[in-house]
Amino acid sequence: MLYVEDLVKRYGKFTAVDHLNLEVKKGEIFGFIGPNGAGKTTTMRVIATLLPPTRGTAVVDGVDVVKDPVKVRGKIGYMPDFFGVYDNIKVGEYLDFYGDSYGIPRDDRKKRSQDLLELVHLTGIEDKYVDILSRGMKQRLCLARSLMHNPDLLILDEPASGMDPRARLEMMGILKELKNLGKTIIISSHILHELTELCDVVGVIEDGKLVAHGNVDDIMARVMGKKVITIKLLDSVDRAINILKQQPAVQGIEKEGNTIHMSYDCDDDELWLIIKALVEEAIPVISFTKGENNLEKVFMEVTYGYEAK
Amino acid sequence: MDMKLNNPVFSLELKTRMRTFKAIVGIIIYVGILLFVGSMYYAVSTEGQVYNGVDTINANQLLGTTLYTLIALLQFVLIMVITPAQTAGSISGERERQTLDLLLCTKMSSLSIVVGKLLSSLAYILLLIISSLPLFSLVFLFGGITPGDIIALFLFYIVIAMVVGSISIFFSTVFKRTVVATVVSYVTIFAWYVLTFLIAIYLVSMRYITDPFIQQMSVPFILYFNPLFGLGDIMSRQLGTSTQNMFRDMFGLRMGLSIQGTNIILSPWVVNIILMCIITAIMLIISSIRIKPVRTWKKGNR
Ligand SMILES: Nc1ncnc2c1ncn2[C@@H]1O[C@H](COP(=O)(O)OP(=O)(O)O)[C@@H](O)[C@H]1O
Ligand SMILES: [Mg+2]
Repeated sequence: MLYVEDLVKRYGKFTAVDHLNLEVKKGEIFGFIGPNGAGKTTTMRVIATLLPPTRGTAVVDGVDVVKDPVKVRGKIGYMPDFFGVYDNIKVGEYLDFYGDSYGIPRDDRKKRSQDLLELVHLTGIEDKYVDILSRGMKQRLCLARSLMHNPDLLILDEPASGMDPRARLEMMGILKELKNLGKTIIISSHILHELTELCDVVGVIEDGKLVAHGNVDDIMARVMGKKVITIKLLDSVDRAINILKQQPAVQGIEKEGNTIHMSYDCDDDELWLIIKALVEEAIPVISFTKGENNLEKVFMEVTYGYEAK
Repeated sequence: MDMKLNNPVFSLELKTRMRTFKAIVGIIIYVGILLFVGSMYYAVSTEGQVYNGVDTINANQLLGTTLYTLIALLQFVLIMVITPAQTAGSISGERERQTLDLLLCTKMSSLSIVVGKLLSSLAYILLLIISSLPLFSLVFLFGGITPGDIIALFLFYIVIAMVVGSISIFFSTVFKRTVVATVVSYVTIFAWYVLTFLIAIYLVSMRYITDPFIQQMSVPFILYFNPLFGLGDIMSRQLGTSTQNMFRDMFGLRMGLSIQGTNIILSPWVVNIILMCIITAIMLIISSIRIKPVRTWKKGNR
């Protein structure tokens, strides 16, 4: 359904998306996760034909977004992270206008608006003015809007951001219904656990690069897994392992020559005690390296929703 | 062939624009200004007439034509002031409201978006012009002006609003903020009027310096770009031979453009309108290219 091929987007010298590759299969819900500024919006805008890529391209249902953007527009429904509505326009007219812009015949537009309003739990508000709706309602209306032309692929950029938990839950419920209707969805968030229930596959992006990509359960296992420390010794590896095994916080130990990879679950105050125990037993430790690879940092951010920048 | 006369942006804008209180107040103020200035002038000039005791029919006709000139010029100025305010927010307003992306990712072409924006503004201005019609028809009572004259004048107004509107839309694609786009539009349009006139004067005087005895010099082409020149031509024709001669004497130049190889001579106002239509087309095309998010090239170029 969607291929992103070697996508690069630069703003001047700054690289926002760096050789990104993605594939989303038909009917799949793809969660696009990364801290703020990672390049999610940029990537989605390229797919939505709103931003020309510097290099590479995206292909939606066999159609290249650079070569034939107009055709792609008929196949996708896009909901931006930030959007506004027109003044002095009623909900019914709002949907009718976008339907018209997608070339849907007048007779079909009314029926379609009603069906979609029902889908997004906004039945019977056709005659209300759009600008008086709450943020959550506007967001659902915008979702209905992006479905007016019955697209196969939905691109939703942080559709639940800025919502209170109840509204968020409602939005997630609607997205599940869409999944059941067989839509392919790509949805972004800077919070991992927001998407785990909904998505089949997630991709984690940081600094424009896809740092992890896979099945939700696999990614979750890696995320929920423990912190890692690498300890290098001169010798006495087995003795060191015995000492480490006695520490309650230590969860797993892997031996690799004179090097030990240890996973643990505790704070630094306790970690210090573990290291102290080794040194007190005169184990010839030559280096400690906290397993602070990039991936983990990203996971921390995405898991707990920290703002990166 | 896909014949689509339906323009969603046009329908939407028309609906949302006409619905506002502002639109109605605008019409009332517009007609109010014309009515106020017209009646003030009428009051002042008829007062003098009583004492002078001149031939009433001729005096009435003179009053009619001067009143017509006054209102026609005033309306021209009003259109110049209103049009940029109506159009300079076309695109920047969509950006400010964060609705542009939603519009651009529909199947509407960027050209039809821009055209829809212009047409909806023109529709409002047409409404203003039409609402001034009762006032203009009063001028008939004095004689001297025909309905045909008024139709020609109104047509000219629409063309003027069109070109000014398209220039403002262009600036609306250039500047992120509507305020800036509006100000730059006003400045540019003012400069356009003044500069074309000044350059024309400069060119004429240079010609006289090089050849003091030159006969039947033609109007510098740049003057045909000036809408005031076209307006002057239309109105001087309408006001009779004496005014027309006055208009020509003022420039002392040969007017009109002959088409090569034929003996057709295009009147200044015709040339003026043609040029304004060309400028409009260019502005709309540039604007549509500017808002097009991904520029595609025809097969083979990529
Ligand atoms: N128009 C732009 N000009 C320059 N830099 C931009 C522009 N848009 C986005 N960026 C930068 O690109 C990076 C990625 O942004 P974005 O795609 O919005 O990230 P995300 O949606 O993941 O938060 C950010 O560092 C942002 O500052
Ligand atoms: Mg974003």
